[in-house]
Amino acid sequence: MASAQQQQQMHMILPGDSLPISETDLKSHRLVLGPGLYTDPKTLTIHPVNAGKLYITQNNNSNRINIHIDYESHRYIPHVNDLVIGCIVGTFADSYKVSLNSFSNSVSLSYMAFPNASKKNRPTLKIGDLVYCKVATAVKELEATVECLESGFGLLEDGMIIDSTGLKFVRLLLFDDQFPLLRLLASRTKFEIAIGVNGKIWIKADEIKDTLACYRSILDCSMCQSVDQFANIIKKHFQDLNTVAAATAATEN
Amino acid sequence: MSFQAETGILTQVDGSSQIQSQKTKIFCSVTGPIEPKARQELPTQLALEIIVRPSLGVPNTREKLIEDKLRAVFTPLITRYLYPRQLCQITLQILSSGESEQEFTQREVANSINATLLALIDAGIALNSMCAAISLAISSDDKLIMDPNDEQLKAAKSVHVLALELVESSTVVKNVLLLDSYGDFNEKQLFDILEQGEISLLKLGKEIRSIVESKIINSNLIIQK
Amino acid sequence: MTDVEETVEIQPISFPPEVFARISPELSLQRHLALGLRPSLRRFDEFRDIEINEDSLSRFNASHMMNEDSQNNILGSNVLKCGKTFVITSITGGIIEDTSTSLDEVDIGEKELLDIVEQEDSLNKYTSVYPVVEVERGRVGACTDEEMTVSQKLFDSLLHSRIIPKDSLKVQTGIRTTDENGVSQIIYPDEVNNVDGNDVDDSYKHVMPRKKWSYVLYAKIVVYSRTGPVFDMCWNSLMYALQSTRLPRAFIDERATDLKMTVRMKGRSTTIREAYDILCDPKKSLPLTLNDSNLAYASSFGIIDLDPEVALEEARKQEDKQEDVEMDKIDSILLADIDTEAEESSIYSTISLINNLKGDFKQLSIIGAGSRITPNMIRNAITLSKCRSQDLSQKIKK
Repeated sequence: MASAQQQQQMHMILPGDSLPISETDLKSHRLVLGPGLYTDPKTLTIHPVNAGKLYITQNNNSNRINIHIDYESHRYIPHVNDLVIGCIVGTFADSYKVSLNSFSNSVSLSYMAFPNASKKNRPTLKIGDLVYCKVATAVKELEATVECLESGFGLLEDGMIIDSTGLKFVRLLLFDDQFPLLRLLASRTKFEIAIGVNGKIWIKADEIKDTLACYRSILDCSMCQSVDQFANIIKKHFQDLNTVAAATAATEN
Repeated sequence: MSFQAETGILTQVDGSSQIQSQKTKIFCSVTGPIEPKARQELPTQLALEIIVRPSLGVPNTREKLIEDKLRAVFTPLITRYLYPRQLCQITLQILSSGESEQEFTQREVANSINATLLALIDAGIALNSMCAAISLAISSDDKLIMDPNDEQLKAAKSVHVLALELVESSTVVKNVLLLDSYGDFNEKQLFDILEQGEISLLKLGKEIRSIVESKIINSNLIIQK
Repeated sequence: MTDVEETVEIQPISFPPEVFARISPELSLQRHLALGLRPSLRRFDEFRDIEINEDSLSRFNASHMMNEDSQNNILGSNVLKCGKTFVITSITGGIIEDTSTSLDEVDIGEKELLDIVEQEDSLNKYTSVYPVVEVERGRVGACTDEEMTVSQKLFDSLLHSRIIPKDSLKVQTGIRTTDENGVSQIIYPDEVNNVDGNDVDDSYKHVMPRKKWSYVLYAKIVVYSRTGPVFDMCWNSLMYALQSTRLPRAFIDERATDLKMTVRMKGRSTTIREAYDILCDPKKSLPLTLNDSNLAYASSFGIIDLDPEVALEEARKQEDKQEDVEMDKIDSILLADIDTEAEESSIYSTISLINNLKGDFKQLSIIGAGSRITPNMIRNAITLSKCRSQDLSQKIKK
């Protein structure tokens, strides 16, 4: 929905293409570069480095042009304020070593980055625990740090983790209010969910069979071609697991 | 030159592609940026680890030389300074070389370059520009053959691989990334190769582009209601 | 509160040139280039001179002939000195049995078919040597990627250059006969032919083995005190070494000539053929016949953009030359024969070529990872490489 104040253009772009912005616009506006764009440090030219859809948002009221490329990828690179799910892989004297992606450089989670933390009051996370956290610093030359300061962050107990969806799907799930998947799931069962933009989704329902149904539904929905199929996929998985659960209950009796 | 390509086939890596051109068939996977081993780490830029596995037997010096050529092509193409102290691992498995391995590597090198480009884009690794590569041969009657097959390579007086860096929607050639020639040829033929190769590679660049674009459109279907 | 009067002085740190080149090779190179010089003090298009020492290590070299029973198994050699770098190439060999069926065993139809196949595969008539490149770095360990790629590139280039025909590696065997007095004598049928002028061939034909052998050549190339890329030096050294290579004559013992016997074992008869003992003649040798018109020499070039800022700084220093350096135009220059760490590490665009005396190419690689390579740059490189090739070919005494 493009309002009168906001113009938005969409455009397919590949690495090395020229940006569809005029020279005068470039000079007269403040540019805000998002993901997928790179400024050559020597020539100071801006060029796209990823293949995807280019979004140029120009707000007439402020003198600003926002540019970013929406592209699919699988490996997460930390950016400040991102919500992520990490796995504790090591403990040091004053911080945890947290993995956001297998084989990627790990990030650090300080013992002080928890609510009410003090020298005496240490968090009690173990290796292998999952934590929901926010990226606090991310400078590409240095190790990134994450924190669990606000409520809602911290240890994720039990539940299941969905790992093999692309980053784009996770972003849709987290940021697009119109995206129907969560509402469809909610109509079936009560559940807790944590979505990390590093491509991990943690989900937990009261019963294991519902958790499993949610897990399978989300995984299948991430691979299907159209949102119209979501309802059917979810229906199928919940019905399948309900029949299995009923059958097991029957044999036990 | 025509080829079939598919991307995103492997699920356990960040990017992958498969390419088939005539009898040459190559699988490529890309993982990165990941944590490098201490000896690979470069303080200011992305380190590249390229592994070529032959269709038969174990890798030897022949594959090392192919790796060396691929490294020469992709080092300038990747926006390395965006990923300091990181590593990108590119693995190529040749399923079928489509040429006599003892004497030639041209088809494998050209197709590996194209396959790697598609896998890098699939992995979302930042690239400065696009590229395209082709193998060429000059026959015994001095004719220039694009994308020669095994028999044409064997009968050729000279064999070549040309890779060009393409920008501006793959309509402009920015630089020669690689020209690797063996055999008997002269100066005129060399410039012929560069000129004719450029025409073919601009066409090929468009093909690669349309593969990438159709992939983007397909992955976007999910939002449309 | 600090006093306003107090000023902070920033002292520029200065380094001696060698230290500066070490910590900032790129800037050091640019400063040199802005002066019109290279770190090696050569001109842009100047090659290093090459000194060669022909065939001093070889078994068949005149000075070694005194010492006949020496264990020396080097067939051809070359020592090449280029700048500070030494390249020592030694060629050794072996004899293998030809697995392709010898021609007199093949019937005529099959032979025609073979000929057709071979005609289409023009490369099949030529062979290469098996090179091992060792770049000495003062430590032991597994071979480096550079050593492996240079070796493989030498092999490929030599094969595709069509310099060594397979025919010239065929062994023309002789026979050692022992007469009734116990005096051994080695007879080479081709030599006998030449002496008498009449056809004596037939008298030996029945004793000549039906098997065929051919030589294989190995080249060991050792590089000492490497200062830059080594491929062109290794290639040139290999070229010189091959031209000095002599193949030893080989013979078989008379007793071992085609011995056939029928053995009966449990009713089945089998033929056992005696294995030949092929020996090399300690004295006699033949020169290796090469395809002379394809002999070619290598040269390498680098292309680098001149940094306009450094050029401007230099111009400012020279007061008389003011403002005549254009900022917008990026000049790129071609440097011949890349050497020194500064050049190797900051030049990303290279042209490496091997061409013969006529100026035809045998191998060429252009890598454009840095500055733009223009057709003009390629033409300049070709012109320079032709001169270089001419010069290098004259180093060897024919």
